[in-house]
Amino acid sequence: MAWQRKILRVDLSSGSVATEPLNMDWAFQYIGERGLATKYLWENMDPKVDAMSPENVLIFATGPLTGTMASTSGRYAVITKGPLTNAIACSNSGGKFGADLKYAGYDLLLLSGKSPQPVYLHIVDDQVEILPADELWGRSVWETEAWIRSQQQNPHLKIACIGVAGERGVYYSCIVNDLHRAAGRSGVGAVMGSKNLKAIAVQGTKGVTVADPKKFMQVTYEMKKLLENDPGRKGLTKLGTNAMMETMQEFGGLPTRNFQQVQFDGYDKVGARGMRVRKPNGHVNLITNKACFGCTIACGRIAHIDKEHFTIVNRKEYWHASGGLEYETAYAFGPMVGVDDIDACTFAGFLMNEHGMDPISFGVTLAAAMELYEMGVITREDTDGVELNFGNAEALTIMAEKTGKYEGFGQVLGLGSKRLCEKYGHPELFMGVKGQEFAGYDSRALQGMGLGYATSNRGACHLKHDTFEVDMDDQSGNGKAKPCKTSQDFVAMIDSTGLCLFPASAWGTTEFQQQIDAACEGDWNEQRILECGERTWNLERQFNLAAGLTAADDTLPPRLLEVPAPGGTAKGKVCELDKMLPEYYAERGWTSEGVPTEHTLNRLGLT
Amino acid sequence: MKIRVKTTGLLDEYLPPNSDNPAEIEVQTDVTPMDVVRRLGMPPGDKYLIAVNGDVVPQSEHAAFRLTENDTLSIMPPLKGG
Repeated sequence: MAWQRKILRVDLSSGSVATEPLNMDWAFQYIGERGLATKYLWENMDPKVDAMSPENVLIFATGPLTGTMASTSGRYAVITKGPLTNAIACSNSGGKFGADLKYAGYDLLLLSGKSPQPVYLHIVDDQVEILPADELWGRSVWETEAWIRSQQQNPHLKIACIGVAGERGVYYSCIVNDLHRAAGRSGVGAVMGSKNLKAIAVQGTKGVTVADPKKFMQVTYEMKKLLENDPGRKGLTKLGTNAMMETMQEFGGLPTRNFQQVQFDGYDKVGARGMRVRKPNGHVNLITNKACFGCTIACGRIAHIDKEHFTIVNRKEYWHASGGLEYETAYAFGPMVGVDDIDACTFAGFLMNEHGMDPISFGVTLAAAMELYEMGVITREDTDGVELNFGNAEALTIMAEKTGKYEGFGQVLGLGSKRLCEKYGHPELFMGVKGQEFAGYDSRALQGMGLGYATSNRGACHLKHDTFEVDMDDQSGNGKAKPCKTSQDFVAMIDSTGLCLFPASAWGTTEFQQQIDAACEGDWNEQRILECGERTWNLERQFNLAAGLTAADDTLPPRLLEVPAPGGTAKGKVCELDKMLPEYYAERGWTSEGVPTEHTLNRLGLT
Repeated sequence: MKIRVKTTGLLDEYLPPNSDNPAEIEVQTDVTPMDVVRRLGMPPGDKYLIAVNGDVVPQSEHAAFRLTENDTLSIMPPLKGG
C-alpha cells in the first residue's frame, strides 16, 4: 500500500511500452522516489555511458507519500546520468505533475533509447501513447503546455516538458512542469532532449491507497498542526525562500560577483522585501504566494513585471503573472552578477521557466563570463556586441534569452561555467563542484556547506544536506563531518518519500517516520528509514565511482580554499575542506580515497 | 545604554513600532543577547542566529555574552534557501 506496485517502461528507440510489477524488495530497501529510482538506474544502465547517448536511462519517480493527504506530497524526482556533471543527476520538483503520475498508477516511469523523431508521451491511466511532436520541436515550455492541452482537448493534463534549451543540449537545461516548477539541476532536460522526447502529459484518476487510512489521517493532521505553528514555516509562507537574502547579507555569506565579494549593496532591492516595495507608479513585484500539490507551506511566489520596465515595455506577452523570485534565482541574477534591478531579475526568471533552464547554473555561468569580460579575456566580439560588465541588467536579460533560444553567445553560456572557464583558459574561475554551479552560500562563511558542496553526489548543491544551523553557530571546520553526513542521509530519506524538504524545519525523523509507517505496508522504524537514506547516498556514490569520478572530484575552487573572505562575519577565513574531508570519509565508513569499505557496503546490503 | 538591533526575516515584526531596522533601543548595562530577545517579545524557545558587531556569537553564549554601549546586535532566524 501507498506504492502503486507498478512501473512503466518506455523504450523510445523501438516505441515499445510495457508495465511490470514494482520490485517490492527494492521498495522496502529504498522507500521510493530518489532512492528507489537510484536503485533502478544502477540496475538498468552502465554508469560509464555518455549522458547524452540513447543508452542513458531517464527515470521519473514518485514516492509512497506522493499524492497522499500528507502536507507537501506533490514531489517527484528525475534520476539519470547528468551531462553537466557526468555524475548521477537527482533533481526533484513539486507542482502537480508528480501526483497525477502516481494517480495514473505508476511509481516509476523508465525511459530508455532515443526516438527517431520528436515525440511526446501521453498517459491517461492505463492508456499510454507515444505521439508525434514535430510541431512542438522548437517551441518553448509555455507554448508546449498550451499546444498539448489544446490538441488533446483535456485541461486536466499535467505536463512536464523541455524548451529549446533542452532540445539543443544546454548543459543545465531542466524539465519544467506546471509552467513554473522544475526538476532544475544537472541538465536533466538535455537528457530528455537527447532522446527526442519533448514532453510527458499525464492525467491520473486512480488515487492512492494507504496501509492504515485512519492512522494516516490522524498522523497527517497532527503533522500539519506542527507545521502550522513552526516559525520556519511562517517565514517561508510570508516571505518565501528569498528571505534568506538579507540573512546571508548580514552574515556575510552572500556570493557576489562570482564569489569575489561576500556582501552586496543592492541586496534589499532583489530580496524578499524588494519584492514588496511599491514603486512610484504603483507597481508591486509580488502578487501572491502559491502552493504545490497538497502543500500547507506555499513558499512559491507569483509575481509580475512593471509594464514600463525596459524588458517588457514592448512585449505584452510578458505582462502576465508568473513564477516569481526564489532565493537561489534572486542570488544568481542579483548579487552573483551584480544586478539590483528586481524587474530584470524577475524577467530573467520568467525566461528560465519559459525556455527550461536552471537559474542557478545560468547565473553562475554568466557571472564567470562577466569576470572574464572585465579581465579582457572575453570581448564584445565574443558577446554579440553586448557589454558584459557586472551590474548590467540588460546584459542579464539579453543573455538569458539568447541562451534559452540557443543563439549567439548564448550557445557558449549554455556550456555551463566549468566548460566556459576551461574554454577561455581560466578553469579556476569556475564556481562549483563536479561541473555543477554553487547555490547562494559562500563556504568560507558556512564551512559545513563547503563540505556538503564538495561531497554532494550530484555536484555542488545546497539541498542534499543541512548544516545551516551548525554553520551559523560555529564558523570553523570543527565538528562539521558528522552533521554533514547525518543530514545527507536524512535528506536522502526525505527525498525518497514523495515529500518536500521544507517541512524539516518542523519535522524530524520521528515525524517523517510516523507518516511513512501509517501509509506504507511493513514496519518502518526510525533506524530503518535513515538506513534507507544512507543506503541511497552510498549507492549514488557507487554510481559515480563506476562512472569514473574519484576523491579528486570532492573539492572546491581555489578562490574558496585559498583566498580569505573579504568581509562579513567570516572575514579572513578560508574553507577548511582539507580538515573536514578526511573526517567525513571516516564518518561515512569510506577509505581515505573516498571509496565505501567492504564493511560499509555489507552493512548496507550493497554487495 | 544604547544598542542597535538588526533583524532579518519575520523578526522585524518584533522591533519597536515605527522604528528603523536596525533599531536603536535603550537597555540596561550588562544585558545579554537573550535578554534582548525576551525584551523584544521574541519567543525565547526559538533558535536564533546572533552576531554582535559582525562577529558570530555561538548559541552556547547567547545567554552569557555581555553587550556594551553602541553594539550592533544582529538577530536572524535559521531559514533555508531553495
